[in-house]
Amino acid sequence: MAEVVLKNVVKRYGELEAVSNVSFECRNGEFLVLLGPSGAGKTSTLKMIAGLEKITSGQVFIGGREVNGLEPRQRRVAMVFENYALYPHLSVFDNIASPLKAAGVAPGDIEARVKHVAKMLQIEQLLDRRPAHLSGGQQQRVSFGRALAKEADVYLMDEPLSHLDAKLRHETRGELKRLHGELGTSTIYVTHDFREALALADRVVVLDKGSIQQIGTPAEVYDQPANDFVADLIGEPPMNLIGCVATQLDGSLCFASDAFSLRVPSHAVDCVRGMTLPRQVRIGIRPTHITVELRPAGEDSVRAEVYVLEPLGALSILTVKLGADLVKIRVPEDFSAEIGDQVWLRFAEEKIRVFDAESGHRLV
Amino acid sequence: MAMGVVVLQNVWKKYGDVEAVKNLNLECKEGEFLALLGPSGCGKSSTLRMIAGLERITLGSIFIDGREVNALEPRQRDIAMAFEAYALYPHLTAYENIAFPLRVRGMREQEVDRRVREIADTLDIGNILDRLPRHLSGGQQQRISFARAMVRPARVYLMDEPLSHLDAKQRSQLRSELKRLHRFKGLTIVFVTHDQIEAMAMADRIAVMNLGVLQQVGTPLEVFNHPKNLFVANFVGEPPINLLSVTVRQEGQDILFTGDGFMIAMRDGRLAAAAAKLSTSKGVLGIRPMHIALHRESVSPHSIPGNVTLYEGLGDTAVVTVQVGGNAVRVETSPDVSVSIGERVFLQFSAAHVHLFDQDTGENLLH
Repeated sequence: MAEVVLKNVVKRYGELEAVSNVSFECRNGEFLVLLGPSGAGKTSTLKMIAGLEKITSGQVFIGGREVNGLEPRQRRVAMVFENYALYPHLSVFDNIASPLKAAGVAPGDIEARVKHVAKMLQIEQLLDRRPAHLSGGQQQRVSFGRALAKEADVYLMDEPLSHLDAKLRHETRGELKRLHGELGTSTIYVTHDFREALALADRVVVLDKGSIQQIGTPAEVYDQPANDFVADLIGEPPMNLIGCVATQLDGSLCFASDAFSLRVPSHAVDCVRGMTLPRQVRIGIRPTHITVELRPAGEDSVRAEVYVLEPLGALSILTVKLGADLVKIRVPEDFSAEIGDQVWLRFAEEKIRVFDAESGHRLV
Repeated sequence: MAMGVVVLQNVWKKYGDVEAVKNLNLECKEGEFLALLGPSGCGKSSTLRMIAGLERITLGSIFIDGREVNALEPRQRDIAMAFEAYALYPHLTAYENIAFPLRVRGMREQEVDRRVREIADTLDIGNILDRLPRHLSGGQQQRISFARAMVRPARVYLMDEPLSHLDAKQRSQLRSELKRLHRFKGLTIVFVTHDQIEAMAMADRIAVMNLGVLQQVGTPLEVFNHPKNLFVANFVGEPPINLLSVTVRQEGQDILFTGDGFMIAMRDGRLAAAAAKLSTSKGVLGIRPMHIALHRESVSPHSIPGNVTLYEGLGDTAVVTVQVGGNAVRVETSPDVSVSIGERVFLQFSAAHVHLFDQDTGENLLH
């Protein structure tokens, strides 16, 4: 086990800067997830840690030792990729054993380690089979097994679940979390899927266009996104961002637009009072923190027009038009409305977040 | 009896020895949004391509508007198609790309303009009509491609995974737009997808297929709440349904379910009738993760004890995995519920949410 530290790491491909001055730490035993859309620089970052890409500038430390000049095999890391990359002509046993053989481990020890890992991954009964005779999920387990069998201080994983269908992805995700709980090995895991990040991570590093947007626990990035990018990346549907101005009307502070006026909630009052008013902002509210009524629901309810209603089984997603913005709301599956209907929204006050309209930074 | 706009009667598709579609009977009604849903290899694309006339029908008949089209060329079938790939003309502006199928038909300029503007408005692309495809994002290109497919009048619009190229955000946006377009214009649409959420969100009815065989046709909520068999139950719903092998016994008015690590009694007429249909005493009990309540104490003699093995917070919800004997049972809860790994908890669910499947046939006996 070891911690991984990145200090001012930059990666350039010619003119293109894929990773810009990235610094973070994966603590000893931590499950750290790098989350971002394609082009965020997350895979480049992982490959620099693994030693598969040169570091343009900055430093990478593993277990306190700078590894910039070290070969991948000298770094004591094990990698799991999106594609399983199993040897088709080798049995499951030999696939898992191959990195051990290459490292010159004694045959007796190899057998013991392979069996131990197979037991952990519940693939003992598959050891004689060839990859072609395994399901996608089983193949991915074998590929995990190959990484786990190696003695490594750090596991590096690049979208290892993205090939699997929804059901298997769900199961394997759970398996992976359980394994990390048992082994406690430092793990850095790359994904574009916020669900995987929230479900697996001790902490999440959110990346966009090569730069870190936020580092925080799953609860922090969900509840207190640092900026509108993070707010928009996390959640399905993500946080609603509604354009308006913070202003003073008849002596009270409110968020107002052509479509609505909303009293500034108590936790935001101090911040709004400190602004030069009026100020362009966007208020953020998650689809689960809005309730919908079919008639006016008091002073603080906001009128909107039904845009579309999408049933998803146990719940439905209602989209409404509020001024220039589309707002999405999680509603019970028995909610019914037609396109064009008027509805009234109530926001859970304490869940309202406020972002600067220009910089996107969260203010409240 | 009024006939659907598209009717498939005993349709087969064979590629050599492979039976891709087996004896399919299905209809898409006037103004209906019908989704063909299933995993890869289930026969959904072959079905769509036979309707379009891009594949020969091995056996059976396809009717469009009451006319058998088996022998007709695609362009004689009065259909419009949107595919996964955008395939826009790179040298034409967005406007000209959309107008293209109308101009080919010799439509008057004024009418062309009216139609292009109308569809551009619905799909929210009015501001990018003068751009060339290479200056458009993937999502915008996909919208143009949609607009082009849907701008001309056709009896049926056929779509094969048109959203799968897009990222999650664009996909959910375009999903809403497409649903609105369908509702406003009353179009008849057959839509192929492997994504159950897409099918649920947009379709009036869903036809679930597996291995070339139609499994169930129903509204999204029918398919979700009353899956006809194990395949449908498993394929629709996220997180997936819990399936527990049980021995079923009737004791007085109670139905007794005994499985690995648990035993529960339920008193419910529907369940009793379903249990009576089991071919042996073995069945599979199905219960969706969102229909299980998780308690810290035994709230009733009908709750099932187990130990928490995993907690996954997902922001809006959380998924707790509970080990009950040899079964890992998933429970979807509010993210405010806090449980620790190893904690003993009790699971409870109502008979109304339980499904009972025959172990051999996979059939839902409550259906």
